[in-house]
Amino acid sequence: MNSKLDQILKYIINLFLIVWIGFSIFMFAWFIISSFKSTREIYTSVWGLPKVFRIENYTRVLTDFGLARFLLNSVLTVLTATVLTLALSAPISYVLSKLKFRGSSFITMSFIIGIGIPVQTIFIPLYLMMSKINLTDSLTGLIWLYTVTSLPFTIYLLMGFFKTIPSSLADSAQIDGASAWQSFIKIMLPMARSGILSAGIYIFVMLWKEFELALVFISKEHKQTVSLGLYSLVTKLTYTGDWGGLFASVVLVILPSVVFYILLAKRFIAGLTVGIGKN
Amino acid sequence: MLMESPILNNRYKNFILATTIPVFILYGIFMIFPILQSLYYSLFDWSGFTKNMTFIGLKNYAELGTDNFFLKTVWTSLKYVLYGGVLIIGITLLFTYAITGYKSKRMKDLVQMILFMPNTVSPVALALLWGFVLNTRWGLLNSILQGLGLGFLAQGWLGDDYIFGAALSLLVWIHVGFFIVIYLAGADRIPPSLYEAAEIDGANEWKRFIMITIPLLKDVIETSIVLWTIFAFKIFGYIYAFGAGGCGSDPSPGIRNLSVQLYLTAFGKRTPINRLAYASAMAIILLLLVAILIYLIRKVFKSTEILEY
Repeated sequence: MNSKLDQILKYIINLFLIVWIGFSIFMFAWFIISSFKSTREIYTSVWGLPKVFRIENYTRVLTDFGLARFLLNSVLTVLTATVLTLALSAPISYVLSKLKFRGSSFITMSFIIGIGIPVQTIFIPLYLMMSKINLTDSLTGLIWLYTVTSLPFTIYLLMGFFKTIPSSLADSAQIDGASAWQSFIKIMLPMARSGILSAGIYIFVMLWKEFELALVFISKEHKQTVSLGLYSLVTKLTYTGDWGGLFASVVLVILPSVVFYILLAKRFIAGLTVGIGKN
Repeated sequence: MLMESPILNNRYKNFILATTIPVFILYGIFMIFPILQSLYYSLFDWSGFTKNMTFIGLKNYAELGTDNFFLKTVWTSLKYVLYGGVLIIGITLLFTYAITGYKSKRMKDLVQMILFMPNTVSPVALALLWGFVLNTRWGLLNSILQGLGLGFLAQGWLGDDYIFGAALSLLVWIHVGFFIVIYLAGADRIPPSLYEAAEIDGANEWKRFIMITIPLLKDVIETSIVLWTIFAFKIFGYIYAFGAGGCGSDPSPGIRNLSVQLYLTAFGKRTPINRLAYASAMAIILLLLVAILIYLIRKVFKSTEILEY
């Protein structure tokens, strides 16, 4: 009798999961389908299919509403910040995970704490600091902020990766007379390649959807990144009632990170979970 | 490890200095030092945009204690921590149970991928989406209810009565997808021999989940509760863009957490308050609340029995 109850329970949980997943797929599909509808079609049947698939919505938002500009800004900012974060984090993560020296655990701890610091606790001083050096309303400024705020979590991720790589190879290279830099670049970096790639994908996706720092630090329209640009477009397009354009904007904004994620989901998830379960 | 040999120590020294010091200084300047600055600003009466800065000691903090708007956002943040925490951890555990039962690895990966997907999407897009789901007149939820003949259950979900639940449900939908990834990774690392032994002892699947999986996921559960507590206070975009009266207005007071209120106090554009010093005091309280909650959570978990495996 007991096991029958368990079976029923299992069916219910699985049903719940299926509904949940069905809903998620439906919502994403609905976004895409609606982006091909005319505004009139959206009004007459919100949840239905379009009669013809039209791409006017896309061309309109890209040109007239400057979405192309937002996409370009985001590509520049996010790619640069991702590369910069990895370049700064990889060496220090290697050192902190493999070498013990005075202060190493203090430095490690302060980065770990940094993961938990909400950016809201520091954005007022940051804003004043950045406006003093003219880096507000600037993509360069945003690249710096993205890089610095990504450091703690990236270092945490990469330390996890370096810990899984045996140090014997680097050690023997050292004995053979290679400098520390040489053994890091020639031996450790190639071995950590997949870990660094996973971390890079994670940083890219997280920065692509970033909204808050952009909202605080960017106000000029031609400097906006995609999340912020989408926010202004929502206001504009709901005001004019251009729902078709709105959906096309949403699809264009979310497409790069979602496609990137789907293609590399396995790596992405491996990157996120490397530290789980081995303390 | 090689470092223990003193001869090689010197060779490492420059390498260690060159790799750690610049990054650590950069981090210190942009992330640690600003915390101290926030603390300093919080002791002044200052808009932030003028030279007029008057030292007022702890008066900002005293004012926070009587500021009903602020207290309400603290309460709302705590509600996100508690309700969100129970729902998210509960649902994530149920899904962990269901997904670990799958025989096919490919199926597991696919389900996990779809669940996580909302986490890769701009918060503005998701807030907009949720507006469509819950719209009173033609939203998905009310349409389904009407279709099922349950039209009497349809509500104005975005009105004041339901708005908190509306925002909470969005956060739950997103974060179950986030935590399931961590839970499944944790469950993957449990040695299969334990389950086999329990099976021989006659424990059925559900019992095995309760007796083996959950206790062995203790660390993962603790991590997820800590992370959710941080998230609940610092989540911004989803709530900010979840405009109650259509997009483009400030978020309804009923759903604002501490972060959103802090932003509106410092930089809000529609109803400019521009009190940077006062907002800095909020920032310090935010940091303290998060630190205290994390400390308490750790303490609770430490006091529960430690399991060996």
